Amino acid sequence: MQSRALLLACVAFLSLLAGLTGVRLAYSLAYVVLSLLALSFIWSRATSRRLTVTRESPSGTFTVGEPFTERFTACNHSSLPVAYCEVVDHSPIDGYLASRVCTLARRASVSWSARGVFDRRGRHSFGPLEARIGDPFGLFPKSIQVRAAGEMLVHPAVHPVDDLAPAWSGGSAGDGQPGRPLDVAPDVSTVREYQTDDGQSRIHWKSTARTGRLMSCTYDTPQTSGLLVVLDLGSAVHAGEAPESTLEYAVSLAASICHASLRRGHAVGLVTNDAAGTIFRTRRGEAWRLRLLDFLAVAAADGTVPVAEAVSCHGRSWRGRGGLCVITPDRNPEWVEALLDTGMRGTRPLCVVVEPTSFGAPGTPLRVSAAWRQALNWRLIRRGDMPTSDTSAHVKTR
Amino acid sequence: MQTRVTLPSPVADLRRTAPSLVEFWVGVTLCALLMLATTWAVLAGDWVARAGGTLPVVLVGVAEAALLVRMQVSRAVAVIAGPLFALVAALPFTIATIPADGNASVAHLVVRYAGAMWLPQSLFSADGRTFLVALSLVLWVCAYFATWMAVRERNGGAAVFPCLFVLALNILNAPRSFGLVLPSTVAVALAATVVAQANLSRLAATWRHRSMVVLPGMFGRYMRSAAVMLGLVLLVAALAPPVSSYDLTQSILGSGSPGGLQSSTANRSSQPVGFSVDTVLGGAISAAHPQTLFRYTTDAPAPLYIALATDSQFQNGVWTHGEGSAIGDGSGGDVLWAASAPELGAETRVVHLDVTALTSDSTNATIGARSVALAPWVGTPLSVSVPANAIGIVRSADGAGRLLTVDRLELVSDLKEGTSLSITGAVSTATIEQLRGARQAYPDAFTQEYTNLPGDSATDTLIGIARDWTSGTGNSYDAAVAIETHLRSSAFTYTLTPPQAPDGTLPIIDFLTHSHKGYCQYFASAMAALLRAEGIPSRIVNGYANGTRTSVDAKGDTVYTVTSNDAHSWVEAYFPHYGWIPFEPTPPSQLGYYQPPVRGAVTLLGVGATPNAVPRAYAGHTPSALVLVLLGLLLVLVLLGLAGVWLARPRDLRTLWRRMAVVGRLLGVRRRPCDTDAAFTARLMAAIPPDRAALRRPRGDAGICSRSLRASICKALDEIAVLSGKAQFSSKGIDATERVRWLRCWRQVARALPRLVWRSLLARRRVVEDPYRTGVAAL
Repeated sequence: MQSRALLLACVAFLSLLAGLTGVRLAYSLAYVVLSLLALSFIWSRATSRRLTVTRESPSGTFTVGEPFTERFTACNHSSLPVAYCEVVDHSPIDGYLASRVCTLARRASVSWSARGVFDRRGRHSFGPLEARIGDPFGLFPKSIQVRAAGEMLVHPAVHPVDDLAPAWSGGSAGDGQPGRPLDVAPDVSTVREYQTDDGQSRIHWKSTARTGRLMSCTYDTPQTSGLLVVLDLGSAVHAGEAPESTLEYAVSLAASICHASLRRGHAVGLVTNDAAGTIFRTRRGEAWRLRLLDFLAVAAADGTVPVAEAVSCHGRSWRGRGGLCVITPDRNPEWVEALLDTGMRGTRPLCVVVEPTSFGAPGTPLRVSAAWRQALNWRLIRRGDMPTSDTSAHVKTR
Repeated sequence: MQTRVTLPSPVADLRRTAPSLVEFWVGVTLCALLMLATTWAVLAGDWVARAGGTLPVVLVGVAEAALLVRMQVSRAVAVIAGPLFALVAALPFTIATIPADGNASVAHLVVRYAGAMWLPQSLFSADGRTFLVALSLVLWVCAYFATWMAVRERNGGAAVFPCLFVLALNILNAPRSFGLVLPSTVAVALAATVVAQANLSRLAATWRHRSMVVLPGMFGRYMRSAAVMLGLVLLVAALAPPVSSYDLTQSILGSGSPGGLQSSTANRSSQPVGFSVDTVLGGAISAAHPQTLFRYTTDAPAPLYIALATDSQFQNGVWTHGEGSAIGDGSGGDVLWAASAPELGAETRVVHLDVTALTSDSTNATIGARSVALAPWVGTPLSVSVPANAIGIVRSADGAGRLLTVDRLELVSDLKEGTSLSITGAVSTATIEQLRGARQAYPDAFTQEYTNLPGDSATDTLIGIARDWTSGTGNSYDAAVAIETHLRSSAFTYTLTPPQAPDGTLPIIDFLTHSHKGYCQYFASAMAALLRAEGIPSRIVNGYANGTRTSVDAKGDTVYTVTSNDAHSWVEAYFPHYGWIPFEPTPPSQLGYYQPPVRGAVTLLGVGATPNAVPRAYAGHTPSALVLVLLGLLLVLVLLGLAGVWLARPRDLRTLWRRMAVVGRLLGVRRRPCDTDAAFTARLMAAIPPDRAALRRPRGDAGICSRSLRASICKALDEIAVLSGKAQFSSKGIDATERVRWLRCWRQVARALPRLVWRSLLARRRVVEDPYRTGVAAL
């Protein structure tokens, strides 16, 4: 802009001198500067109108830590070369560097791929994209905007929670056997990719023939017991900043537990104390698992009702139906009392406390008394116990 | 749940990001070249003598700014250190120009030098040395500023602004405008390159700061695009005609001003080219702002030299007009000749001249204390159609005043714009033999008036030179021609800015013995004086040469326009019986293609006019466009031939692969760092387009004819790759037979290269026309 203003001033000055004096060389000098400005303008406009930038983005649902690849193509349809083309990607994905600078010959295109990793759950969109081009003298830069691509949902990270499994696993009352449910009923809920430990009888041959890959059935097993997960989404109890925050840890834990339970055939329900008081009744199946993960992907700590209330409200009605798991960073012992008041029999509820002081919250940690230890299963999760950046420990959810 | 990404502002980026080493050196080099070109343009304008010291000053300025950039100092430091650096740069190269005045103390020198550094005064100083110091400082400021702005601030427009300003002033005000085209063009081209490079540097800094990956080939294409744009810009500027060639400053500043923005600088060093009655040597003149004076038509076969006044008195190196006597009744009509005047018979032809004044007072001159309008005339004037008095040597032997010679025709009233007058004159048609046979008995009046020389040492010098130059000649005409030829030889140089003669030496003597540089008055003065030294009556004629052919009038006669730049001086020597015979001692120059007169038919000076009204190209030294084009083609052919020889003669396999890489580039295949020889060869083979016959076959039928070019080239390339691999990895290497084989294969490829490149270009053009085909894939 400054260069352009100075050159315009040059043109005016030189034109004035040339007009006053009539000297041919002065006119030539003025013509040089004037034609430089004019040609730069025409070049910039002509190339910007015939430039297209496209991106091929992945769509669907992903999980935190899952890599993705995008392919960008910048195409110049004009007869003039593009001296430089800055393709700037404004995707709000930390650490994702898809921006490139390229040059385009006349009627040519350039493609490149960019890889990134989703490091946060939630709804994300790729873009917007901005292509900045200009003439070689930087006098008339032009910017082309490409709107953001469609949204995708990133599920929270799912970690292996086998060490928590004995704490809540078990079937109906009296059946405390952990592990995979028996194939007692042929109610196929969905098909999925074959895994090495799937039985040969699980293979769904029609899907296999159609897709060309081995596909296994998953079954609903209504006789197995369920699990109710109570997730604390109160706004006042969480601490830290994403990705190292109690909320992220709690959500990730909830997702991990739900995923593991549903994969084992349990029925899982989810109760939260967010602003909407979201409740998911217990169900089984892959579709339910995805629905729970979809909710957890966008769950926000915006609730005002303490988790004790949710526990006391839903704990009593859940009594005897299966395991109960409370995930919270709340240091107020009211929810523990409420949990004890539910009078759970058969299985001891699991309390997963995400210690807020390790995330920078002031105050003292929750003290777990001996009586509570007797009555409940406790797991204490501190910051760093579930590193969100360590994607190698994540469980594949798809 | 989205988070916004805020990119850092570009301005903040640049302040934190120093230029890379490559950017730094490229920027500094371009700035140095720009300043050298600007200085060259200024030097070509001939502002002041011995100005070559400005070149190292600008280079030092560039170096100083580069040093500060490299040290990453702040702007404030650069500004504060500027004056000190200026002094350091300019002092060593300009201190010697200040003449010694006996006081060698440092303080005194500093005071004198400081006075020269006060630019508002020194730039307009009449003293050449002071002006030189000021010029050096101005150029240093441009260099320092340009380098800092281009390399450190990455602002190309600001960097080149002062240089463009200097170039503009130089073009408009330089004492010598001829010769500015090339350096100005180079400077402007370099200025544009600096702007492009500064922009690229700024962009690169931004990309680095934002960690943006730059795909290969960016920088090369960027500069290529800049070069193409620059070429188009220069072409447009060269071809576009000026809107007007009229000098408006004349009407703004008033007549009598030299025009344009010269004013004080003109006072200092140069006067505009123009007619003057007397011939006074010394001082530079400028052809920058010609004024259109009058136009004429004639029945002569060629454009004419038009006389206005003659000088016959030579004293102290100055030629002045003779007082003469006036004759005429102011009514116009025939000029009265004495009965004993030279015959105007068989050896003359009467020529008519019709003149129309295009500006008022276009032929006015100051004679004594009077401003007199003069009538133009040719040859020996016979009549004039407006009231005028003829001034010359009058003979009154028979009681009636008759003219022996005409020195000038003074009009009774001034010549107004649009006034027309007709003049007839007698132009000599004497042949060379006739002139050689002319007697040497001159009338007394001629001897008194037209052969006198002062009795001083200068005359002795003139006599000696004349004798030396005319040795071997046997008559007056041959002697005159010998002098004329000697002055037109390469020993003498035409220039509008001759050097000042040393004190105590007459300019004419300095011209003849030392400098050998001058303009038409120098040459005419010298010849006239040398002729007189040989005893040949001579005089200087002041008037206008040729004019420019501009149009054709209603009667079909060619109209010539005369401007102030056509002012000229030539010599006439007197030959009894034939009268005043003109001679042209001035060599061709940018102001005119002066040629000696052709004797015999019509002795008319001048050969054909050129259509340009502003300083014409010097046709004698400027090669024609056709010659230039042919030379250019020859150069291109030579270069192509050398390239072909280089390509076809690799010394060994290592240099062969360099040539192979060039072949690859021509075919559109760039060798990647990860490519082995075999891989690269495979890509080359894939890139060779199929033969035309194969292209015409329907898709699917891609049978390759064994005798096809593609097949043979692929086979040759394959053999080269195999032999290359053997040479690299085999313990025994390759023997002489295999060496001959790979050389033969390579020559086969080199011979087929033009065809392959052509086919590749055609194939690429066909591919590119499909807009959905993607091109280069990176990463």
